[in-house]
Amino acid sequence: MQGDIPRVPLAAIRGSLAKAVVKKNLALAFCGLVFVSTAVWAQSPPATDAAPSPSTRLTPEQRAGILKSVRGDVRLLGESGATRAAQSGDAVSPIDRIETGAESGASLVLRDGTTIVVGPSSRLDLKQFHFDSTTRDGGLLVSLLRGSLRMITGLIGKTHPDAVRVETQTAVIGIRGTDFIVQADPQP
Amino acid sequence: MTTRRRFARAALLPSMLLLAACSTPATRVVLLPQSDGSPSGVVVNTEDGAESLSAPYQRATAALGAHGAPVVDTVDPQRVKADNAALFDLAPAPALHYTVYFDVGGTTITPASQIAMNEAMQAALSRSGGEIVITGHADAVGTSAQNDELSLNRALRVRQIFLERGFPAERTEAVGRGQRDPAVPTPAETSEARNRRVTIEVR
Repeated sequence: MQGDIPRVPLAAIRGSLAKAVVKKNLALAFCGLVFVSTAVWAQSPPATDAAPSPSTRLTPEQRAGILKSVRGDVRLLGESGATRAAQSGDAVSPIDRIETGAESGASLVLRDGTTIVVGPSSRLDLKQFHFDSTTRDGGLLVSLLRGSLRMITGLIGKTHPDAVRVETQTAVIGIRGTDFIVQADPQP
Repeated sequence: MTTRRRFARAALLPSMLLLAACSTPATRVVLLPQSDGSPSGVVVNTEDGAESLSAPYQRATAALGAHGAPVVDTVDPQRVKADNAALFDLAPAPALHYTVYFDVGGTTITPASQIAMNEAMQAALSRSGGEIVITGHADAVGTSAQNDELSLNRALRVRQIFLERGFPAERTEAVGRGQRDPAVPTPAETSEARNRRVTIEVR
């Protein structure tokens, strides 16, 4: 039996990569700008919201995982667009963005035991996560927009390795029961 | 050393980074060894090619705009750790596992299992963002649907004990695995106490 994650059609991947390739020359021109704006962005204070976020009260079925270590400036952006400062023990939703500042980082463990560590100056979208803890069917799609991540795959990777993917601007990574690092340069 | 010289050296660093980022916007994937030494692998797909990594510290580089499959080379393990210190420093400790058994009749937890639960609770409380995943199991007596329900009820009962002792509910999950993971394999419809259990994972 296969995982019920909708497969990312390779044609779609190719389409988006083709677009990225078209931007190649522009990329070189804008690169310095990106670097500068990155630095400014890293120094800007996070939009802090100290009140307990609604997603920390998610039921196990609604949450994707729990933040473990949080170092420095780490923010969670929900589907609604609201930003909150992340703390260890916070729940992460299936569609959340994790952003880290310079010299910052965070780790989380998803419900299937997949461990993700996000490095400094990174932006990671948890685009899709679903997991049936009784049958261990599920799927996971993570997009690293910039920075670095380390992933140690969990139960979904064991039962349905095809249903686990990490994508960046230039590559789509499929897994076979694994511990690996991905680095993605800033998007031009 | 003069302040000015120190400043000049510090100023060099960002521009070098800038150059590196500019010349090759790329994705780099490094395969790490499994903690138990078992083989693993990743496949890195680009627009018009794919490469598999199957040995630890192999690296695939997919540059933006490059043609063909990703370029594979091997990196120095120490260098990977030094360049990505946060990815190693912040990795959570490996999960811990405990098992809880029930007395005959299946309602009370054995004294030895009480001790295991205390240890699990202490371990979870001492971890940053610690959580407890409680998985109930059943033996092969009854239908699989009945055993899914029975095993979930076992897990919920153990979860309730953690909650009564003050562990935060939002960092627990109760799971029923039915008869899928027997500790001792048996033929169908076999009563087996060692399979009527609850496993506890502390993350």
